[in-house]
Amino acid sequence: MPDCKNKRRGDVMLEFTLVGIPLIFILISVVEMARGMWTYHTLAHAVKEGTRYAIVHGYNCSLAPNNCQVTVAQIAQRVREAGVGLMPNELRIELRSEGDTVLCSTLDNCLTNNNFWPVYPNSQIGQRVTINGTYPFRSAIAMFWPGAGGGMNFGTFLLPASSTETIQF
Amino acid sequence: MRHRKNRKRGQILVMVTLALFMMAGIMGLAVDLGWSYFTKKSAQTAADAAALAAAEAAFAAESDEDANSTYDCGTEVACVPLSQCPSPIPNPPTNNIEVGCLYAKQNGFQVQPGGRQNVTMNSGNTPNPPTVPGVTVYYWATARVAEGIPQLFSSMLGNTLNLASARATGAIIDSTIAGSLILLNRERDCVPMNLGSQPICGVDLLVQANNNQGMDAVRADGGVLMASVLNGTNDPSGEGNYSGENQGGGLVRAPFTFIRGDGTVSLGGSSQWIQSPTNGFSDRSYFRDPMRGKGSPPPPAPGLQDIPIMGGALMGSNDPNNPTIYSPGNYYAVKQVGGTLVPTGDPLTMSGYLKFQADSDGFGDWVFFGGLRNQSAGTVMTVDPGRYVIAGVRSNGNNVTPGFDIQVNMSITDNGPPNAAPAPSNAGEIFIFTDPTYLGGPAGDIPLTIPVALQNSPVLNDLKFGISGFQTGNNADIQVNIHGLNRDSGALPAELKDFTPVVMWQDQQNSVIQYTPRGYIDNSCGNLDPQQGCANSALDNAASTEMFFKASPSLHIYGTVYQPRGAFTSMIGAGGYDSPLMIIAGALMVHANSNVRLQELDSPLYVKMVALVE
Repeated sequence: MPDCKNKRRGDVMLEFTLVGIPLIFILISVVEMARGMWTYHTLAHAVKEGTRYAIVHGYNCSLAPNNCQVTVAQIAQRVREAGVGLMPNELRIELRSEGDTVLCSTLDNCLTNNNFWPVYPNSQIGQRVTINGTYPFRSAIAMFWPGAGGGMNFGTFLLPASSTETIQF
Repeated sequence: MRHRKNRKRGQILVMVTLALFMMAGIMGLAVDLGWSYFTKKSAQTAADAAALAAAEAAFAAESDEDANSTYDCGTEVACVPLSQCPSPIPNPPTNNIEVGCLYAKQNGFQVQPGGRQNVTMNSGNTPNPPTVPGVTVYYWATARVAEGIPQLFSSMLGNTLNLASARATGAIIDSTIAGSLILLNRERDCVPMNLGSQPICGVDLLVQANNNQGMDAVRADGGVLMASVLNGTNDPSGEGNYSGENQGGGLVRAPFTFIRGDGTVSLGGSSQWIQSPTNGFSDRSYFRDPMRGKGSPPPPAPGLQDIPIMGGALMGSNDPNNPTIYSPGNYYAVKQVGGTLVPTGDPLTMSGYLKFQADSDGFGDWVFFGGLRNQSAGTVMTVDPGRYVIAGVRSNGNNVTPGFDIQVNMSITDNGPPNAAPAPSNAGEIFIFTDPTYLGGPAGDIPLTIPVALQNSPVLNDLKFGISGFQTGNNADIQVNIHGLNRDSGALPAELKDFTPVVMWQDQQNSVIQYTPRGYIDNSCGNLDPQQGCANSALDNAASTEMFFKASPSLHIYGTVYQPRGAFTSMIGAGGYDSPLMIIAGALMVHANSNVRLQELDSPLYVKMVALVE
């Protein structure tokens, strides 16, 4: 009996090692994939909302009696409001019309940019505007990568999203 | 030990169960969120479609009746408080709001008893839509679309339903037209613009001029738009033409040049084009005739006095301070035959100092049958604000003659200030170049009233389209100073408001392309190429499609010069044209030492259209 009992010592540890590690890996992977998709969907929604906002505030907004021109800051604010959970100091967006581009290295930088956008002649009805956004996604899966190192030095993915629409007003 | 071993049994089960809960939860959250975004996007599409469709339906219903409509609330144009779309939606719909509801349904959203979707609409003709401050409209329709989404994960927290909603407002608005030079001819539109030789197809801007006296060959401060897609290799005529050809060594300068499709420009010798043109644009609205859908400027209302002119001589005084007054009326030349005045169809000839004086309301109507010309040098024609119709001119054999010939030194002035477009303080002028068959109005069905004497005369059939514009000749003393229609003037007749700030209008029927009465390109002939349009078989002579500004006059024309697609404008000679002016033409040829600078207008050209404003 003592022999038999001693032989079973370590079984649980071995089983846990064989089953637990892949299980934890799968668990973290699923969670991280879901988190990544969540972040991506939010980013895509945010740039879409920003673009939708810009296309109904085109050149005609600048003509009296209309008074509805919008600034880079207002569009950036729209993106911020739609991007719930996205950190403005990590979100990078690019406002692109057919003739000019405004680059926000972070959304924060554009929240104080009071230049009108898009500007004539790129603000005419029928012109296209595009908002590109990128957001860093640091995944815990990266810790399984060889050479990932210890601590929280995980790899970073840049999630991209883009929305293009035609100016309506 | 057995006890301890038994206690460890089932640990994995617990761990897996907990892990599965966590995985399912986080996956559910991601799915919930993703589905919500997807549903919101779909709802936005449906709301956009519903709002636009409702406004479009109101626009179409009202435009059938009156282009100057104020969109009064009624049967077809509904003004409704916030209310649900009917279920079921009547088909065909009974008003424009139900049209919007149908569009929402076609995009997947409708009101159903017990359903999770909701579609509501409201509309009105107040100038400011309630949800869109800062925007002025004629009519608006707002659609709200929502759907409740059952939650997978959030329901565990008691949140069983998430609401995805969207809102959009469509409106009938006044929108401006961009560009100082809008050139409409397409690759298969052939016009005799090369100084009368073979027709040229698909060249929108042909510059054969150099820079002179500090002026660029062509300068368009408001930009250039060209509708032809030619790039030298895709010319159906085999001529290797380009959308734009700058051949004279001069500079074409514009803040932007947008070319449809693959169209490009060619530069000969030292010619330049700054800024470089941009092509690749799809067939957008601004490559089409901006006047489409407006019809044509209405002719004067019936009742205008008939004024026969013996020998066609419009005699002026010798005193510039007391010019001979000519009241509004239908003017035509006559001769006396046996005690009866018989129309001759000849041009009306002017001499001395004349003034065409408006009525007390500040606006007048004049129609000239047979064309206008001046008899002697030094003639000064002063024009009050009004509508001046040049209704046909007799051709000279196979040669088309000018509708308004001022080759002999003559001035035309409204005494308005320089560099103001449109007229700053009055209703301004519009010169309509047409023939006696002219049909105007929003539906293109209001005929020009012909004097009874002319109706019964065989000469009426001799009056055809002349060359539009002023035949100025090579005379530097010629002065033309006229200002286009002013939409802000109370004296401007309401039916002309849609045509401000036009100063010169060439009849759309004076084109090699067939236009519909409402001003659209006619494709009813079944042409397989929708870009080509139908040929205008009623046109007598393609040479009449020309509008010209020739030689070296001092032209100060302020406003918009309009001619239809399938026509062309010539600037030839040593004239320097520098004023707030927008040219809408089939094509433009700038030749010899001519130079043109088109400054931006103070008051731009507006078109009424439907757009999303929210």
